[in-house]
Amino acid sequence: MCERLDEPLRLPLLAGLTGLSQHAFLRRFAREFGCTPHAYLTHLRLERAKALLVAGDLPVTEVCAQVGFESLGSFSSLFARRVGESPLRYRTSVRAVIQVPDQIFGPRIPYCFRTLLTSRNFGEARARCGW
Amino acid sequence: MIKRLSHVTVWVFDQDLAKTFYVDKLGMQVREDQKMGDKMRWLTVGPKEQPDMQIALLLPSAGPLMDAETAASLRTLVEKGALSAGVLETDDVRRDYEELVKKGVTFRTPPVEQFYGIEAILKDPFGNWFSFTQSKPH
Repeated sequence: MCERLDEPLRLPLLAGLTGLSQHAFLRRFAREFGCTPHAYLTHLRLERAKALLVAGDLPVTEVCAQVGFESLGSFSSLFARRVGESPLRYRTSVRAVIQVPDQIFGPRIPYCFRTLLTSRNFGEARARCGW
Repeated sequence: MIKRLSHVTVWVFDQDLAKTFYVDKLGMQVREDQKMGDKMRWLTVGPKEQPDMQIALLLPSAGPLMDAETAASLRTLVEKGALSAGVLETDDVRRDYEELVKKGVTFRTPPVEQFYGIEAILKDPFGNWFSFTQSKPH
């Protein structure tokens, strides 16, 4: 589940991995995790979304897509309900308190390649990279 | 001390086409292919037998690095064949030349004997060119 956050939940596949019937799998899952696989996946998706928001510069639509939500609206409202603020507000308020490296996850894109190719603030990007 | 070259840039104008060319035609591997910001895509490839080097196939576009005019000039330079992208080594240039031509790869020159080996000049779909060389042992 962790590795396929962006894919829909596939109960038959998950149950198959454990060798249990779907019914037995659901019961066992509830006993171990105290929730349904769907609820657990949603939890994982939101945690991953929080990490992506804090650590990178991905736009919210992209974060939403990367964690497997099909609609930006449902992602944003669920996020707000669970986390207490909108995805963008969350990014800003966490960054106001702690400094996070630009990119913790994903490919190791050299900083100035990333900055010089993607930043919207041209002057600041150039200054930071010594242009 | 500088230990090795880990990344090198090749400017391309269409990253899907670049991926097809470098991977499907030249037989390289995708190393990284990830969206970067809103529009840009970090696409790197490298030869299968050289896992610690990657070629970043980047799109010249207006941004902090260059303005629109510079991006257009860069494009012209690539298209005119002014930018050499490096040397690709092979163990059998004549065989690979035949195979690559069949796959639709263009060469500026076919394999030619030089004192250092046999060399052809390979061109990517945008105009970047590589010396494609079967080296003689030193």
